[in-house]
Amino acid sequence: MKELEKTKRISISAVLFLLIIIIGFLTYKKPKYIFKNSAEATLKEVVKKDYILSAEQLKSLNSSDYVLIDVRSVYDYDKGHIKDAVNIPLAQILTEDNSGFIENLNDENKTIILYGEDPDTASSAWMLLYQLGYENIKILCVKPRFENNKLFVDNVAIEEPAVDYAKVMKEATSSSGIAEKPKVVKKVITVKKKKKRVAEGGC
Amino acid sequence: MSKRYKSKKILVKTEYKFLAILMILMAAGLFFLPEKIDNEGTNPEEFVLNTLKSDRYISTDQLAKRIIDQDPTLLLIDTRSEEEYNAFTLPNAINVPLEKLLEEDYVSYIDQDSYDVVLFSNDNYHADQAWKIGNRKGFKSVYVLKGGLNEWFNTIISPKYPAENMPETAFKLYDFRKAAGMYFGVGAPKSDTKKATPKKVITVKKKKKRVAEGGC
Repeated sequence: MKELEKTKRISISAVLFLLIIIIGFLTYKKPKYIFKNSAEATLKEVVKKDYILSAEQLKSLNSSDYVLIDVRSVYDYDKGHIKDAVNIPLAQILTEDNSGFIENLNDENKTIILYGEDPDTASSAWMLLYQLGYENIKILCVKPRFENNKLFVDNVAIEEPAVDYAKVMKEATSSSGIAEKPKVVKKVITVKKKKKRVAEGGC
Repeated sequence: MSKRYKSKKILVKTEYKFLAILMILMAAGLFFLPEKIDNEGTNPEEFVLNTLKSDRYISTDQLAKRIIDQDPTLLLIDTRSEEEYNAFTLPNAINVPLEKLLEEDYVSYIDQDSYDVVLFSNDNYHADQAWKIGNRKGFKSVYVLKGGLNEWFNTIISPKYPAENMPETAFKLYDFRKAAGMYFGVGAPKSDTKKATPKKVITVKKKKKRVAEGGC
């Protein structure tokens, strides 16, 4: 009787063991999107700066080689966009349709050129796609603006100091009296030592 | 009785054998498992969400106030090149060029949570990219100076006098910026400056103390 119980116990534990493993396999969810390029590799690519295109460089490209993607909002896109650009707002870049679209472009060996309201937003999208493993992507270094309901796409300078900081600071400080700092004469405190006198007695 | 017992014993033994074989097979199966794929730091969905938020930006006025208040939790990081850093930088800023951001010596400045790290560059393009790399790595409490040093010079160092029809807050802001500018070394207009007179030398003579003499 005792032995029988023992076999029962063993078989129950074996079944439980297998069950746990099966549940583990079933609940294991593979993440949908996986970063393929490491942060280090991305940083290296970012510093190279050859992913940045100006509006003039874009014109020199063969239009069948690339697809323009506008990462601004749908509203801004409807107001006006560069000719033949496709709208994929940054927030929706990872939806199934859009990621499939990008995957297709990548398979067709087309260069993906991103632009947004400023190069920062375009670079956000660029960094995301680069880290996801798409390497044939560029950004357009432009700032679209509207004037009289007409879209103007201007190049913007990035990381250009607007003024010579050191020079401006030097002028700013020397234009006032502050640069010629008055010399503060230190207080001279002469402490005279007490003369110690032996207490004299009275007469 | 004894015969029955014997047969049972064999039964148990096979059960054990079966279990042992099962275990060994499963252990062997581990070798064939695909390499576990997962994202280090943030995953792509989070990465996008974080980049869409604008709470990483800190304005030049906010930053000026924190510097003047001598906020001990503030850590300024200059992501420009070393030359640019040597020519001019914000007070107490540390130079971490963008390309060296993830190097061992530098990453510890950004990968910590005891300070509010504020990244800045000439505008905010490189600082923002540094922030995005940090976002990927999952670093906390990292901020970006909106507009960078260009904005700093437009607002704090040489603020524009507000137009007459602007609200009072614009004038208050202007006053704050002027005062902040002075803190950062910009002099007041010449007419206001008084020539500082050198301080007089005061020599304090101490009274001679005399030991009380006895009376006659």
